[in-house]
Amino acid sequence: MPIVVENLVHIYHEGTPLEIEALKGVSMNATPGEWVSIVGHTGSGKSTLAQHLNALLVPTRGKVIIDGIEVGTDSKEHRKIRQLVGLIFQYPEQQLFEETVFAEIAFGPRNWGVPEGEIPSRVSEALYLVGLDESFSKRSPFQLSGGEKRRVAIASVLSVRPRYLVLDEPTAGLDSKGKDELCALLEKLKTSGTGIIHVTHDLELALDFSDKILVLEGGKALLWGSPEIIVEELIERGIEGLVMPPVVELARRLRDVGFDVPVTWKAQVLASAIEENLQK
Amino acid sequence: MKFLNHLTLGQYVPASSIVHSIDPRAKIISVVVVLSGIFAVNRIDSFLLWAVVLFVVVKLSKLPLSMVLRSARPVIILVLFTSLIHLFFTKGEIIFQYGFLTITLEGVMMAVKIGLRLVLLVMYAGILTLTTSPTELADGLESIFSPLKRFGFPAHEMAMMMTIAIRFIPTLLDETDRIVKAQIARGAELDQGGIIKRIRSFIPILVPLFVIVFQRADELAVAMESRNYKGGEGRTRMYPLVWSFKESIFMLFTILTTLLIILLDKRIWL
Amino acid sequence: MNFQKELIIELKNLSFFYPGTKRPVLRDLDFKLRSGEWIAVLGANGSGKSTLAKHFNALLVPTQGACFVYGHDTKTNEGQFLARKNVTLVFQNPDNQIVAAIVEEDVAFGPENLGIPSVEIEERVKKALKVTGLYDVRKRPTYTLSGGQKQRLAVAGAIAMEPACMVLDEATSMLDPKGRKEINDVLCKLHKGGMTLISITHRLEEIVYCDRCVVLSRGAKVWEGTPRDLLIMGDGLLEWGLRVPPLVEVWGRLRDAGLLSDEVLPKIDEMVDALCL
Repeated sequence: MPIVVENLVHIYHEGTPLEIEALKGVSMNATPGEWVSIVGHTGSGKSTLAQHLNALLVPTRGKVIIDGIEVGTDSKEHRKIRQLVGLIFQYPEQQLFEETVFAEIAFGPRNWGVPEGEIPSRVSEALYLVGLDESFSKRSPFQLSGGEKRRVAIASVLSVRPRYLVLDEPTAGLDSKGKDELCALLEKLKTSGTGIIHVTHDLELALDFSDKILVLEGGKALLWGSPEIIVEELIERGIEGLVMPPVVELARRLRDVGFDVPVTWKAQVLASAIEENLQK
Repeated sequence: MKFLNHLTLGQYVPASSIVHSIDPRAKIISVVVVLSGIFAVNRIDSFLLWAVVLFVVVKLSKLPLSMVLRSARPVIILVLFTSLIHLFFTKGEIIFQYGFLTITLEGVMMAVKIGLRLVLLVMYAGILTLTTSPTELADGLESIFSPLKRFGFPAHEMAMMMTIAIRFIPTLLDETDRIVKAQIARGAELDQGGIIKRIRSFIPILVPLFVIVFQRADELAVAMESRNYKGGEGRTRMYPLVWSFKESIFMLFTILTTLLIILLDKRIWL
Repeated sequence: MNFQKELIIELKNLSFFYPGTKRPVLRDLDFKLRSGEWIAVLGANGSGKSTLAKHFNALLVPTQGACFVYGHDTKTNEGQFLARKNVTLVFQNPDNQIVAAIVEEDVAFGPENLGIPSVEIEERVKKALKVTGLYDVRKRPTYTLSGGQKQRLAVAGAIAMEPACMVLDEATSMLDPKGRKEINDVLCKLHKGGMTLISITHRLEEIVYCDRCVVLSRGAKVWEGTPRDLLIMGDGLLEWGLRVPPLVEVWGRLRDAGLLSDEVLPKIDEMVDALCL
């Protein structure tokens, strides 16, 4: 059962002078066990799209179907959707409010009616996944470091065991070590069958991890496909307004001056190709 | 998404007009004079005169009339409610009756007058905020209240607080929107159950908001200190307030118009 | 007189503890900044680099050792005054450093605090808005700006104070690539115009334009030198929590293979030119 988005249009304040068309007919899909990235600049509509996947927004036109349930037809179904799709906002550590890490992580499962007896195991499982040990559960979330808070916030969504995980710019503010650890966690979740939908402005990161990428700009889908297809399109067409990953840009420039290098975003691949070219 | 931001559209709209260029102190005092003038009159034709004056000021300000009309929107419920109360509960000559509901001629007149008065008050205040930037407004108020400084009244601090409050309203609305959505996504139900449960259900929103506000306040204080802010003492202004001949004439007009409308209303010469 | 080499900031054995704590956030730092230089201070989260930033303009003062601005200790009133006047800071979160509701009024905030005459404030504001490309939006409410514009506004507010040196504390970390590019373009322009800059960052992409790099790890200076010498270290930088960006990886491989000479920096233009020869 997949997530299917078809010709999604979203207009804020329709019919008023403040009308803004944030999404202008976007289509995409995702299945459990897949990593899909939605890439775009601020204002490209990527956050608006993400909020539809969790039924926080409903389509003005078009369809958003989550495992067979259509968003917007019956608002009672929206809670079911939210249970299936965990949504992690940007800077999720700012949503923490409970007195202990345990209560924070238990908040979601309790809201969804998970039996109280099962809660401790859910909390332990989520703590384990994000790489925090059991001793954290009694501590106050407000006394943790920034990186630890981020992990607790992510654990508080994982404890619901969502089939899909939508993350809005989850690596913002992390240093390279924090980034690596988070990406490793998401890869692990993906392998165990969770669908990852990663909303980001970092095309480099998206290329490294995704199975499929949707590039949004001004509410329109510019590109949709595997990283290979995306890079090829980027090099062939060159997208206006999109800042290219430097390696892709270098490959494009070298092709322009007659080098026979592949279209790639991978440093090692490009470096080897350049070496071969020059040895000839 | 930034949709809550648009609530604050009733704020300052820059333009180069005579109304924009008048010293904020003159504008603030004028609005106070006009508001008292609106309170002082009681005839429908006087309210219409005030509406004509408003129309002229709007034309001079180069703002679209619809924008000024819209500034009254937030109080429309209040206006309707107050008008309805007067419509049904004023004693006098009955012109309509249905069950226990009676409408009197006096009630209709009262309702119309109250409605007009409230709408006019809000729109005149609206013209002030639409044509005066928050900083100008704050500078103006600071200057008007500065004689009270010698009695310990913190005129500068009040003005600075006002500027910052206005500046942060859109930011905090966005923040609230994000936190509400984040908690709904975690399964929080904000509109279910009895009153206690509902109040409790706001904790997941209020606690993070407080944390965010304090953190922002802390960072802002550091940023202001690093930009050399040390209170009002020794500060200069990019656009210092200047009370010129124009402002005196403007004040004179305001006072004369107000007096004229009040005198007409009281039929003093009859 | 050698104006270019004037000493602006000097740290001597600087250590800093937050009151009541035993572990130092900064340990025994020595460091000199001369007029016209662009220095990058690098380090992972928690390396103490933001705490250091606050020392440069006397928002914090050292627990041990000293920080001198134009030869005056920032612990003295004179030193604090000089530091605040000559060193301005741009912080990470653009939303938390904008004070006024209107763009040009925010740029004027610093000069107003310095007690500059009105006419001169107007000139400075105009100049700062033009350099940062915000002149056309000068009357707009600040909340309607994009992230990149907001951060450029913070830069405008800092340069309107006409400091000797501007410190950017993770100023691009909350921006998207477009916003980052906007800021970096402005910085290159300012540097060309002679402004002294300190970029505090964990992004190695941003250091290729700097003259010198200082690496902090757990509060101590562990390395100092040119960007090229730093980037050559490749994966060795992971020890300090720094990750070499993919473009630098390509550059490193090509250097190792002897295909790029010593002068070539990991900038796309330079690399393409060098490879074409």
